[in-house]
Amino acid sequence: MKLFVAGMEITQLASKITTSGSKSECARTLTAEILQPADGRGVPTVPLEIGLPVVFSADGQNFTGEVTGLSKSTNASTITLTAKDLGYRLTLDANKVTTKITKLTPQAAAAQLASSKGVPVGDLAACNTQFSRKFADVKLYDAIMAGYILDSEQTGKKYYLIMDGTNMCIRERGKVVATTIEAKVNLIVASFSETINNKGETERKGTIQNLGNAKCITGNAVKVVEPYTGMVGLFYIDSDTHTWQNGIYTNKLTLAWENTMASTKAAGTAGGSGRSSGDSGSTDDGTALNTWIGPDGTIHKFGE
Amino acid sequence: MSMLDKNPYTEMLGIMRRVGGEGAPLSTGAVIGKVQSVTPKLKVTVKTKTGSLTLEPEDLKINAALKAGYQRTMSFPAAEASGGVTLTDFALEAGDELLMFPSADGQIYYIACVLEGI
Repeated sequence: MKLFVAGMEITQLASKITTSGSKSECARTLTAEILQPADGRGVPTVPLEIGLPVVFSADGQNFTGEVTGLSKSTNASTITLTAKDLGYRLTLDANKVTTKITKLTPQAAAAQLASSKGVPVGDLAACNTQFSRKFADVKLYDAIMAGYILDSEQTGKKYYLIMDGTNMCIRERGKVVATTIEAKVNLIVASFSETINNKGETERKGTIQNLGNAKCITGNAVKVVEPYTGMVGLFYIDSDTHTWQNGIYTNKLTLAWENTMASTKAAGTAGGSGRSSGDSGSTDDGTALNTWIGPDGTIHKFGE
Repeated sequence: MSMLDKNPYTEMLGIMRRVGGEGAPLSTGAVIGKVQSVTPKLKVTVKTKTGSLTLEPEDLKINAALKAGYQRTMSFPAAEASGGVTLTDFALEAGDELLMFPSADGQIYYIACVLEGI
């Protein structure tokens, strides 16, 4: 496990690290408890500031982002660091766009839109549909996903945006089955509940705690074999939390029976405001999208 | 047919409702557009906080009273006369400022009228 902040390795000072994601957020979040006693004695001082680059890797999971929140108290010997991956910049007001897309595939539009703000792209799910759309002061994330939402309405496929390092990727939701989770193998706790909602429909909710697996992230699916709760079959990960503490790596997953994707107003479809960047403490003016963060947490300009 | 029966603004409201759907919000707020060209086809630009959009006929719905060929009936009671009036020119010119409303999804812009200083 390695944790860097602004190029400084602080792995040994981190008592607990979590990474998390959810269907309602387009950025993944890292939180770390960093040992920093109020009197400053006994451990090296880490100069933590909002906006510093954060790089983390452990057990096959990688995170590249920047500090978006810090909290500390005199009655605790740790500082809680919160970081978001660079996906959160896609929802900043500073990165809204005004543009017209004319008869492009979703992947071509996504590449064009990302390029207009200097966002490098990785793999973009290929669609055969084309769309035309006008965007006036629309969040970059909403504009990028609009074509995929329109494609989803025609094909039934579901998509999600995820950052791979500093590269923006759009993938088909549920296409990757991360693993099989079953009792006496890798399952820790399975919980299931069902209730009747106001519409008279049955709502089912399932959560799983399992031994850590880096592939168990929002957007992927898992197979579950747990007869007592009746959770048997293929499930879609709606949210995930990965925790490293006391040398143990575990996952907590919220699972869905149906494969759905967030909608955006920019697509002109019914539904809510879609995914958000979460509760990030924004310090970025959005103009730094043309930078990347090296494996040791140092910042570089693209083209360097 | 009385003049009120064919009020262009009422007609426009009808168009906006048909495009947006009954009960849908008509607009997200008025914007000012500027006519870039009229021929060979109408082009209107709208400035936003982050850039500008160039709108073409497929993006626009226009107040019928601004179009050439728009017909109204008129009566002159004092002269005991009445008859039809047909507008023969297109009301928009390059450089005109327009009062416009985007549809709720921002995909159609409705041209309400031409703006001038007092």
